[in-house]
Amino acid sequence: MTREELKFISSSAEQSIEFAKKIAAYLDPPSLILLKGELGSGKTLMAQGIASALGYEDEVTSPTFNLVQEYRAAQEIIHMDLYRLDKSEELIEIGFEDYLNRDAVILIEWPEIALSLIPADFIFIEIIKKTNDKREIIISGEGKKAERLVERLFKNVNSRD
Amino acid sequence: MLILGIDTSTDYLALSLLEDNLVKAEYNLSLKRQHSEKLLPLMEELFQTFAIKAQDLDAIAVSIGPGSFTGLRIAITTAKMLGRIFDIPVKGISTLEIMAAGQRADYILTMLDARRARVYYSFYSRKKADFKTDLEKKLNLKELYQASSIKIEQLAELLSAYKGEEILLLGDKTDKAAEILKRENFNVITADPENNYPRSAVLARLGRDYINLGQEDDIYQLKPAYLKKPQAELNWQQKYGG
Amino acid sequence: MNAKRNYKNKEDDIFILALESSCDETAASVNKNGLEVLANVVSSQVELHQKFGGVVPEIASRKHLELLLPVIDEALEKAGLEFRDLDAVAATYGPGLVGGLLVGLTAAKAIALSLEIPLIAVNHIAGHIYANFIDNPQIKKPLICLTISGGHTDLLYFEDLKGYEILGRTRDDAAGEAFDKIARYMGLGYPGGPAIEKAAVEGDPQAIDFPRAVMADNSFDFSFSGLKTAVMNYINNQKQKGKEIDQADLAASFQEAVVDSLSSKLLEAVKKYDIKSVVLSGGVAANKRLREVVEAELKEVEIEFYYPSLELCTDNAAMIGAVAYYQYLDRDFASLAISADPSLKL
Repeated sequence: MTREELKFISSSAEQSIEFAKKIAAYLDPPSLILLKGELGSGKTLMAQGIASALGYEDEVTSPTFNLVQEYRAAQEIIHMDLYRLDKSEELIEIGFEDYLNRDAVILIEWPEIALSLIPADFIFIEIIKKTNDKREIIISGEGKKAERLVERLFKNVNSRD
Repeated sequence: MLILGIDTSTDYLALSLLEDNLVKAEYNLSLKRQHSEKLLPLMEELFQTFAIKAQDLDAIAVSIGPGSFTGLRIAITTAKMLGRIFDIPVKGISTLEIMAAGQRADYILTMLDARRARVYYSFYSRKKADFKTDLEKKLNLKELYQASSIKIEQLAELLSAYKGEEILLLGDKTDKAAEILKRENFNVITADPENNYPRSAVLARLGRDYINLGQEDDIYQLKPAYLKKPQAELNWQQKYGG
Repeated sequence: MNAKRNYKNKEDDIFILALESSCDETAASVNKNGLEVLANVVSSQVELHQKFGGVVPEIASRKHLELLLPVIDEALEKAGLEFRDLDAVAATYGPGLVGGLLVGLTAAKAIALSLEIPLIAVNHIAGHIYANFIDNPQIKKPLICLTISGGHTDLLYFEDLKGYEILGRTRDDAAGEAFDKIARYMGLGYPGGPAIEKAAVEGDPQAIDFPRAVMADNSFDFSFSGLKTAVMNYINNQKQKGKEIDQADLAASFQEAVVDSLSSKLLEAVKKYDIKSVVLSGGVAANKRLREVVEAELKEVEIEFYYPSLELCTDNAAMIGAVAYYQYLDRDFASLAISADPSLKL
């Protein structure tokens, strides 16, 4: 099975935020969004863009220490950062599955450790740091709903360029 | 024996009052995520309606899930406090078991939506020949497969040993599950809507039965059924890198 | 629709059981007539969360559910009371983590219904303020309280202990938040208050002249976002010019700007209102430079100055019980339908 991949080059934080907002526009909650990328690649920035497009007005910071933050907007948003977890067993302790069951938009930074527990239907965003400001953002969808979103996003991005 | 049943494990806020063999009251209110605001006022209203006081209760039955942890803790905290204050027995009961215990069929698969094409499930027998322990005989119920979660698509594999039997599907996602199982030539039936969720009167009755059999819980240890890690079915690690 | 709750008058002794579960301490207390603490039991979960460096909500909620009963038992035993001796039950209903708040609040509701006593829902921030009065019941009123923490910067006026008037609050970041953010920006770690304070010890507070926010309307409101931006700009400019940054001078100058903003507003308010004392509360109240500056300024105008002891600075239920007593006297009871409010304001 081949995966539809959408590649987008962002040359500034502002462009990344705009792109994140486009993604948010196509979300049909509940949605699961995995954000992969090295330190400082801008995962939190994407989360910020998505949360703000969903109507959350306060500040979005990376939940590195409490692992999970919940934002109340028109749509419930759950923001996780799994960087500090060592073992996938720890996911059970933090109520990972319970969060996955919520009617929410769930954003997960550093999702690698949780991949074996993540069921179908998610949007996978990989951010690759090219230079100080430039990022390659690769999006793919797992599951019908997510694949459709990527397709629509693909059309939108291409038609505007 | 006056038993209060409290269930906040699903979208239903469920509350019941059972006096020996008489169901005095049963609420099953489909109220998504309002359990914290509604449970205690509803209990107060129930007590007022029957002119009883909390201290008149003889036992508490409470659902321990699976379900939303935050939701579950509302009923469990309430049950613990009542148990402690009035020194009465408390019994925690699986939400999946409440559904199964409310229906008559030889084999029953109960399911709760776990999202993204998964369900929490448990598989029960109500067939006399299957009962081994005293508890099973007295409750008329045996749990064949312990509660866990699974992809709906894999149900046929899970139940392969029971292909020749009639299986009653209860709870969430029954239509989807029936479709999958019928495709594999299983003999499945589904229930009418009024029997298709955990009824609080069944919870109270199960509580009564367990407590009469000396199976009450230690309120200091009572907690939600935090399910163990499910089987990893797909190797995303290979695909998306770790 | 509430059942009749039996309550006593002021002349009688009033015993309140209070519960606190808003963050990572599970706590229960029994207070007699508000400020007399008969039992103050705190079971900390700090070790559980240390591994992650922050409070993990689900882990905290599970622990609250497990610890609440033992903590209540111990509080009642220490106070030498039974459930039936209680006149009211109180719980924190915000701000904090919703999962934890719900455990304490639901328990309090169940107790209120079971014993047919009033339920009192208390604001956690008010608790921190009243912690001062437990240590120092003799504090002369009226008074002004400056509450400064990671989530709050409020200037409050108290005629007596039954209520307060908000004179000013922050329009953007809380003072503690500014400390955290700048500390992170400087690479000093978390929590930022103590980290900056430590880094500032050897620094010159006058080295860099950072702006102090001036409110156009002359109000007692605070603002720290301009200062925060100024510090970040300073760091970036120095870096671009290839100049080395003196961390100690930077920390000291930033701290001085925060202390100056806080103390000058406080002093303006002290001069405007006819008060007898000033109290500090909240985590930032632990900042020594702030205490020093405020103490010196208040000495000149002969106003008494208090700040809370360390054990009452951290989360506890006795402070919730203290607030609850004054709500009891006001018959400010909550309905059983009340919900937790994770972002509750004063």
